[in-house]
Amino acid sequence: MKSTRHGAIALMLTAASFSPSAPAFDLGGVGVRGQAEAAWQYAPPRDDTPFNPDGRILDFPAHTGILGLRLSPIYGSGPFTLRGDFWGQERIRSTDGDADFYTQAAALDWNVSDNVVLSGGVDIFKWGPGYIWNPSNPFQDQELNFEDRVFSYKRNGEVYASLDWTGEDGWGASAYTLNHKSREKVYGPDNRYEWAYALRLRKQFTSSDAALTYARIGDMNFVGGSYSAAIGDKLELHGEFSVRDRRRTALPRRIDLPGGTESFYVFDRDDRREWRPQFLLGGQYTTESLVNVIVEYLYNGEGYSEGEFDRLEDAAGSSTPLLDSPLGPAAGGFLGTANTLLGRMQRHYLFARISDSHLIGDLDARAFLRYGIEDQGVLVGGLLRYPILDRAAILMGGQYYGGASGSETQDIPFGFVVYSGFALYL
Amino acid sequence: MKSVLFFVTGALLLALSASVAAEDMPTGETPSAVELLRKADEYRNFKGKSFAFELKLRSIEPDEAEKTFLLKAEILNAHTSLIIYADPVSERGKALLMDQSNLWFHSPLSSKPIRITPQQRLLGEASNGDVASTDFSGDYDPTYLKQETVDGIPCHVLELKAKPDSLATYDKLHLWIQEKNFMPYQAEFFAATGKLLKTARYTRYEKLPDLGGKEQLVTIEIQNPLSAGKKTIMEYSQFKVTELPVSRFTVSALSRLR
Repeated sequence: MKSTRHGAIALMLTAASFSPSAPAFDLGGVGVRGQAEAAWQYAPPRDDTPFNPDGRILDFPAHTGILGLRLSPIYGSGPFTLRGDFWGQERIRSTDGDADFYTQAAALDWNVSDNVVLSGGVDIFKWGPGYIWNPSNPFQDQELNFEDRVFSYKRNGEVYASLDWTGEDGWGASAYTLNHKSREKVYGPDNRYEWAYALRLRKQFTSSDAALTYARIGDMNFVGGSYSAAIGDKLELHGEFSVRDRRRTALPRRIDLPGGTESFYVFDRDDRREWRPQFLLGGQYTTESLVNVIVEYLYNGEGYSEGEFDRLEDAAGSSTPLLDSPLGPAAGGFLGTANTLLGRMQRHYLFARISDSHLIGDLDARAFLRYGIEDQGVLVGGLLRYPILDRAAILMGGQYYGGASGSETQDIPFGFVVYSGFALYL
Repeated sequence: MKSVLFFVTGALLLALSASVAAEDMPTGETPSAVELLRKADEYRNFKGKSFAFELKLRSIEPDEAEKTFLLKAEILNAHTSLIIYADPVSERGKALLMDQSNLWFHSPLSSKPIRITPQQRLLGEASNGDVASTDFSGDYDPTYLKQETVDGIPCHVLELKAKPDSLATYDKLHLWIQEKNFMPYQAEFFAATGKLLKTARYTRYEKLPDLGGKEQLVTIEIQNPLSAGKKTIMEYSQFKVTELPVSRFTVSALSRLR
């Protein structure tokens, strides 16, 4: 670990040593786009939630320093393109630290013909017109859609092969096979890699587009679709849906010990064979002054119902007194897992984002609100990114987790996060 | 700065609306508006072939430092194009895909390409939708207005009106075409309300030795009539007529561009 950390620091220093006036970063024909970041984050832990009573389950330093380096090399020769996207991150805390390296992409693309591309390697698959969530994508990782953080969530890509065909009149199709592991928090921490196959058919019209996807992940069938359209110059509407024939949500189950006087809770995956829908409806509007507003509603049929969430909180309440008993490790494990499920485990959400983004070369300011319709949980956040010189930016932002008592966002083990950082583009 | 993307569009549109060695018209005849427009269009496109070029944008505003952006553009056809930002470094890798009225923007900082509204193309002053159009002839019906001498140069003046159901960016524009060689000389672009949005001057043409000496529009100056002293100069270079794979002009290809 220490060598990894030292490696990350060395990379940072190397990155920072590039002359700010250099027009490009080219290594023997390999184009390299890079980004180095240094950030500080303050997130005081919450020690009064049902899942973190008196801070006994999670306790972490409020201050975190973060260093990171992203390198995205690309090399092309004839019909072949080699590309990569690598992240190194180091978190520095008063008590400890850790370093991680992520290969988000390392792939070879082969333009077999004018309209066929064969690809293979490691990559992350993202599609769908929704901003906060993409139910039409069987491989979605909603955490990736939150890029508002200085240091957004990162993960390794997945081994894959794909064939992409672009036809006449806006038609196209893609076939994928990949070794996939779901990152949905509500599925719990015990997800395994499974081989997955997907076929995606798409059609583009004059001012709109539609796509339909079938996928099989392990023994689960998935059908999803999306549509988005520009309505005039200022309005865009979009929708996504999917159904899957298996629910994989982690749900609490009570274990009664022999004698019937003691019990504790564990999480079991709900593997019921039934169709579960997810959908998202939304739109965006851009004003004359270039303020862009996105509004979305999403329904997650795999999320917790109100009754299920109440039972989860009851299970947490029953587990807390056990922490000092011989069943303490089991109770602590249950509460620890419950914390990892929090994030987007309800069924109905409203989302809105307002931004003043000029796409290139200017101040980027954005703020968002997510509201849990069932539990009145509130998540608000914002980000300012201000470019300085030609290759740097200052970033500032924060998120607040609040809302009604007993809501999911009130149970998250920190109430707010503020951060600031400096980014250097290479 | 806000208007950079607009200028990209405008640049492309205007470039695409002006380039090629025109054939001489028979003397003593007033050419038809359709024929005039076709010949003017030849200075900015390559007769239906796909092509690529580099574009330097210099944004000049009173009391502000000049800002320069370098873009790489690929034109598949009249309504399909790809813009990749090359410089400054902080913008490198950002890309804009335009396919008919569909626009997608991809930034290396974001998780996936996003559809943007046509209004977002404006970025201040005018529409970027022009980028999708590689010639005026496809989207506008021309009418011959008059002959006029501007700056001592005799010109034909055409009024172009958007064809019904076309992807035209403007409701109307006026185009001045030099009588002697059919090079576009200047243009005025109007909103549907009749409001003048911008003016363009086609200031420099250059023979392209690698493309048979074809004469091509290489410099355009754009001015906003409502912002005195605000000007953008667009300089085109590195023209290359080339086969471009259609698979490159898809949303899924945006994240694997090189």
